[in-house]
Parts: sequence; structure tokens; C-alpha cells
Amino acid sequence: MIYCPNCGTANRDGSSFCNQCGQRLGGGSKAICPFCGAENPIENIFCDACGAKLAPLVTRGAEGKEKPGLKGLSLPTKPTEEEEPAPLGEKAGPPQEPTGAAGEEEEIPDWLARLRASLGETAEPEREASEEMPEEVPDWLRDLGAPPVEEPEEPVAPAPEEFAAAAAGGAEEMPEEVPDWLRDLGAPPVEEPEEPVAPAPEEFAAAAAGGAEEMPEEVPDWLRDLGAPPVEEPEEPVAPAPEEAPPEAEAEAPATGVPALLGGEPPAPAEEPLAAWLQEEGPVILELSEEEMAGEEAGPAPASAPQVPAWLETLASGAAVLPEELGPVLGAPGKPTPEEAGLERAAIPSWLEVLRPGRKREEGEEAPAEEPAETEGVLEGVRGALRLVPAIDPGPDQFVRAVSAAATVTPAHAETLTQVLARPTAASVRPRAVRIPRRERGLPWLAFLLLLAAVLIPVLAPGLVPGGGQVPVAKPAEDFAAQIQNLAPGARVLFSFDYDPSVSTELDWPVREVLDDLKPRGAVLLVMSTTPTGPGLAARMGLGNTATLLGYLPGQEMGLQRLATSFSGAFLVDYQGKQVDETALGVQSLGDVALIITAASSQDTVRWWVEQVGSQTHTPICAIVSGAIEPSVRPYYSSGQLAGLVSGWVGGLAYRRAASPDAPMSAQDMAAMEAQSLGHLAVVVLIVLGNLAYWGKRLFGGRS
Amino acid sequence: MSDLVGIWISALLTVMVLSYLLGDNPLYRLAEHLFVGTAVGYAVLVAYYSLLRPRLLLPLIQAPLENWTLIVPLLLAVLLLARLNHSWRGAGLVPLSFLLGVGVALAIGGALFGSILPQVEGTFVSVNPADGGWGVALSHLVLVIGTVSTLAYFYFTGQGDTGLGRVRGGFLKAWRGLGKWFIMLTFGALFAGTVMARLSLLIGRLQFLITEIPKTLR
Repeated sequence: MIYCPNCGTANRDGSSFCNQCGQRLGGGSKAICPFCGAENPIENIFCDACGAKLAPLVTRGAEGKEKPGLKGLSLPTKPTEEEEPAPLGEKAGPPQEPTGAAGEEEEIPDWLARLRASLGETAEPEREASEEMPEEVPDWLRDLGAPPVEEPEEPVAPAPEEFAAAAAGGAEEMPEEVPDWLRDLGAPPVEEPEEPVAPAPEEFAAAAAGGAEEMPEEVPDWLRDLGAPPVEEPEEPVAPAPEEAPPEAEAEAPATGVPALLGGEPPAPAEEPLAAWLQEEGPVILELSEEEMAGEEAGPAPASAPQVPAWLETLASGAAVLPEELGPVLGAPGKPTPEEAGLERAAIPSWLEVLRPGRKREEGEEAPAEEPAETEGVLEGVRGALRLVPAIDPGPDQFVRAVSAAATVTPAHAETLTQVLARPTAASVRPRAVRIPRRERGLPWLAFLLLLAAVLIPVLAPGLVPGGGQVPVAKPAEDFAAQIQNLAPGARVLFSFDYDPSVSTELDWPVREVLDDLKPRGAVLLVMSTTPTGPGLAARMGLGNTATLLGYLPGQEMGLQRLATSFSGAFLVDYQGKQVDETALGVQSLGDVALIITAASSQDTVRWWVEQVGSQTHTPICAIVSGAIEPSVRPYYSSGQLAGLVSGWVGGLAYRRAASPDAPMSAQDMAAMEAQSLGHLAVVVLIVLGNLAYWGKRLFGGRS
Repeated sequence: MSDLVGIWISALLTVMVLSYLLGDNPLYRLAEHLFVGTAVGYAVLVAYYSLLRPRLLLPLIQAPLENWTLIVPLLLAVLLLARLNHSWRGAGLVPLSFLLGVGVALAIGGALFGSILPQVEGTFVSVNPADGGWGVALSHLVLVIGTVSTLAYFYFTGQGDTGLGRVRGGFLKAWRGLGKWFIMLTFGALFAGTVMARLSLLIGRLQFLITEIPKTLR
């Protein structure tokens, strides 16, 4: 049998012209091996001398213009300097075993390396063939294995595997590799009554039956081209391969997803594998997903049912409605090809670009580091649970990388999540407690015992501390006392209890000192509070008969502003529920008040008095405050906005000393002051020791 | 008798609070909740008897026509309760907006005329020893330097490129460093005041336990 190099039709031996397309056949045509240069009969699929494939990957038209294998898809067959060879190699089909230097193996993508490992045994014949390549073959071509080599004189490129198989009459193997829908697209096989042609694949049968003219209209041009790949030199047609051409390794090779068209090992005979050129469409995502799903222990993933794209399923159903994005690429059936129309070959469209399996690393580019393991949290020690987000866009294949990574990591994530959920949560989620060294664990208790002793000893045995009961002179307390001493008999004094029970232990003492000083002077006390608990604290102070407990003034700052504006109506009923008569009290406004005293535990309360009342009236304001807020209130005294200031116990004793210099100090007061003094001393000692220990440890920590 | 019971309850609650030294425990929690609960209950009663009842409810009940304007604060108070319901939460923004608006307006006016201007005026002091002696002059000098340097610490700007700008930047840097020390001294004084206040509380409770409890046993 002589197969037409133009349409692939099987012709009888001795035929001079194709009975289908009229192409000249046979004669003295010879096929020159592109690798060793040996002359072979035109029928040979493999070179007699070196075994290289002679079937064309790239055919040339009559004008000598290079045509792509898949018309319309415009897959480049030779990498240019600007293009990256790796994706091209993945697409355009080098054999999986490289023939270049060992150093070049670093540039091979991972998926290709895994693929190579799985095909190690079956690729041996190819390697032997490639080792015999002539030296003039460029390096990148060695990498590609059996690429289309330009032979100026007789450039016969090796044919794709499926073509070879078809040409070899592999009627038993080929039908299994062709999907049913593809069979439907093809025309019925050519009837050869005398020498029946072996049942070739449907696409070749269609081509043999009459070429593109007889194909159904819904078949695109690139499908027609698949069926009838023209050779470059019609005068020397390529002869069909012999019967024994299909290698036995084809049947044993595992499914790799790399089509034979790419020059790799042929796929394993899965139940219904896609044709090689279809596997080219989206092999990487499926391939990676299957490998990851199988895991490392499961070994190579078994061949799974092919996933046909939706638009191909549409073609299979016969509707023949091309996707919109394919319209400008494929063109309408029967129309001239873009090359024929004088158009330049288009670049790979963007929707196809994203199907690239990955970007080849540049030379010198560092390999991506392995994701570091988590160092803290519930994922401690787990690697890869949280994905690293690249800071720089890696390139146009980012989408594919993301999809592939998701498919790759998902099983690992599931496993990680299972491990995390299986952990005892109570121990892992609990925050880490500050671990104190064993020798330092007793220090807090030591500090507390020291402070307790410093406080308890003076309370239990007053007078033991020499000079502990002495009270320093404080000018703010003296000014406070002077304000009270200057009160005329019967003067109205507004006393506000603006603290709560939590600090009553500290403030009750100075408040009682001031109240005791006010009573004998005949002052009329008007007691109020800006806190709800204040009136209760005032009620237990023994205010005397001249005092009126007005009660709670709501509104805080706003209430004080209203009080400063109009005292009348500020209090309707007193703490006892009796009607407040301002006339009887002799106070219509704050101007009628001789002195305002606030006992506050919050600096805000003092500020409210100063800002809302002091700025609107000329009534002097004195404050009894907690020692904690004394530094914050002090500026108001320094600026003259507070007429007097008493803070804490010390301030109370200072006030007593200023108001009644000759009054003796009680034993209880003496004990309190001694305890206060010793307590402060203990705190100072602790601070100094702590600082010494800290600096000592910092300076001499290495020696200890 | 009531005083005796009160003293013992106070002593018991004091010990329960001091038990926090051994760590968080139910006794401390019980005392803490009792304190908060009684304080809130007492405050509610005081607010009712000193505010709601005499100022809102009684006028509306006794003379509603004369005091019909009190419906407005009553309505605002009811709207404030709407914040307890998630679906009506937006209605509670009306009284809150009113309260915040009035409060902020008062705070701004009070801060300007009650704190800022008087405090600035308070720093206009004489550093001449002839006015009050060397001690007063030194105190006023420290006051002025501390005020200016502390303000310089919060003066955020960059150093200029020109010669004059670099001089100004270096000058501000020096002032900022000084102001930082003044701020640290202020924090130290606040800490010391807090320690003194808490020590007073501790001493007061210890004195109560040591002196008052034996009195009840006699």
C-alpha cells in the first residue's frame, strides 16, 4: 500500500497518483532522515539507519511556507529567542527523555520530570535514537527530542504517533484511542474492494475519503488539517509506515497526559482515552490534580476518564456551534486559512495561554523555596497550611498556577485540617502563660510579704518607726485651711461628695478633718453629689444639724453647668425626700455660696467643677482628692483655679496640722502614717532591688 | 446589733476580696458581684427618688397639661430603651445624639475657657529672682521649660534640608528629648500617687480588721 502524502489515502502498490486527490505517488522518491541523512523509502515511518521517526510533525505547503500542525491554533513549532522554550516544549512535543547536557535538566518543569520518571523505561529507545543526533542539531532541539527539523533540501519531518499508527494500519489499536464523538465526525472509510484498507482512525478515513471538501461543514478547518497533513514536497511523498511500525511500548506506557503529537511517549491504552491532540488542550491541570489526589504513596495516577471541554462536547453532539472565542481563530469551514488570506500567524490567544502548565524558570533564577513550617499557633509544625502569597505577579500563567496549586494543596489542606481538629483543643488553644523560672517563682510572694510586714508592723505596734508620724507642711493644705478659716459665721458652703465607696477608706479621713473644722465655725453646709453613691457616703459622716443633704445632682458635667447657671430648681427634693426651699437655705445662685468643696476620686470630676462652675462664678473651689489623681489636679491649684488642695491621708494630716497646729495626733492616725511611710519605703526598696537585679542580670547574665 | 452585723459582713467581704492574692476564686467573685450589684441597685433607687419621680413622673401625673413639655424627655428616655432591641436599635440613636451633642458642646466650651486658656495663662510666670526669690524663680523656670519641652515632644515635623531647617530640626530634637524626660517624671509621679492611694486602702482595711473586729468580741 502506498499512502498519499497529501490526503493520506491508501493506494495500491505501484500507483503513480493518488486515487483521491491526484497527488503524485511513489516513483523514485526518497525520504531523507533529518537526523542521520540516510535515504529511506518514502513509505518508511522510521529511518532504516538510525530509527528516527520520519513521519512529519510539521508539513510544508506548496509554497514552502511552514504550516502549523493544528491550523488555527497557531501553536509555534520552533521557539524563537524571545519565547520561552519550556512551554513550547511542553506543547509542541519533544520526547520526554532529554538528550542535552545534564545541567539542562534543571530547566525541566516538575511535571515533566515526574512524567519522565514514569516513562523512564519506555523512553529508552527514544533516548538511543536521540543520542545519535548529529552535532549540528542545536541544543534546544536536543531538548525537544524529535522536533521538526528544517531540511532545506528534503525536509521530511517525523509524523505524529497517531498518524504513524494510522498509516501502519493499526486497526486493532487505533479505534480504542478515538472517542465515539470523533468517530461521528469522520466520514465513512474508503471502500477498497480489492485490497481493503485497514480500518484507520476516523479522521484519517475522512481525509482519505475525499479531503476537506467532503467533510461535514461543522468540522473546522483545523480538524480537516489533522486528517490531511500535507508534506513539504509533494513530488516525494512520504510512504506509509510498515505494519510493524507501532512500537510495543505504546501499549505498555502509562497514561501521562502528554500526547504523542508532542513527541513524548504514547499514552497508555486507557478505556477511552482522548486523542493525543485533544489531550494537549488541557493536560496540565488534570494531570496535576490526578497526581496530587493519588498522593505520593499511591504512585502514578491511573488513567482516568478524559474530561472533554464543553465546547468540544458541543462539537461532539453535532451542533457544531463554535465558541465565540474560537470564531476568529478557527474561521468558518470552507474559507481560506489566515495564512492563505495573507494574515500573519496569531499568537496564542489569552484563553489558551492560561492553559500553559507553568512558566519555565529563567537561567539563574532560584528555585521556589519550600514553604516554611508554622512556628506558632495551632498550626505549629505544619507546613503548607497557609499559602505564601507572592508579592510580585509571576506572569501570565498565574491563573494556571493558582488553579494547579489549589488542586495540589487541597488534599494536603484536608489532611492538615484533620490533624488540627484531632488535636486536643483545650491544651493547644490555651494561650501561653508567662513562664517564670523556678528560682524566681517565689519573688512575687516575697515582695508581697515584705510589703505586708511594712504595713502591719506599724499598725500592730504604733510608734516603732522613728519619725514615721511626722507630717510635712503642704502649702495647698494650708491654703485650704485658710479658706475655711476665712469663712464668716453662717456662710454657705457647698460640699460635694463626688467619690464612690471604693476609695472611701482613703478619702473619708481628709473629708472628716475638713468637716470637723467647718462645724464649729457656724458654716451652713449644703451637701450634694454628682455620683449616685455620694449622698449615702455623706449621710454616714454625721453632718450635724446645720447641714442639708441635697442629694444627687444628675447630669455630671451638664448638671454642674446647670447648677452654675441657676441654683434654683437644681434640687427639688433632698436626700430625705423633703421639698428643697432655696429661700430657706438662703441660696438663689452659686454667688450666694462662700466656698465650694469637692471631694473627688476622679480627675474628670474636678475638671468639671473648674471648667463649668469655676469659670462662671467667682466662688473659690477647694478639692479633696485621692492621691492617685493628685498630679493631674495639681495644675489647677498652681494656676489658681483651685483655692486649696488636699490629697489623701497625707493631705488630711497636713490639713489638720495647718488648721489646728496644737491638736494632738491620735494613735490610730500615727499608726496609719507610720504604715504609710514604711509601705512607701518598702516599695522603694523593691523598685531599687528589682532594677539592680534586672541590670545585674543584663550585664552579668552570661556568667550566671 | 445592726452595726455588729455590718462590721462582720464588712470584715468577711474584706477577707473575701483579699483572697484574690491566692488567685481568682469564687469567694472573690462573690464579693465582687455583691459590690457591683449593691452599687447598681443603690444608684437606681437614688436616680428614681431624686430624679425620675420628682422631676418627671409626679409632674406628669399631677399636672399633665402644665407639664406637657416633659413628654419630650420621656419620649427620649423611651427611645433610649429601644437600643435594647436589635431591630429598633436605630431609634435609640436620637437621644444618644442629643446627649452627645450637648455634652460635646459643653466639653469644648468648658475646656477652652476652663482649662486651656487658664493653664496657658498660668505659665506666664516671672523667672526673675527679684520677684519672689531664687527658689520661686527656679520653680517657674522649670515650669516654663517643662511646658515648652513637653509641647515640643508632641510637635511632629521633619527636619528641613536647608541649613536653617537643620538647625531648627536639631533644636526641636533637643527640646523633644527634654520633654520626654518631663513626661516620664509625670508618669512616675502618677504611679507614686497611685501606690500611695492603694497603700492607704490596704492600711485602712487592715486597721479595720485589727481594730474593729476585736471591739465586737468584747
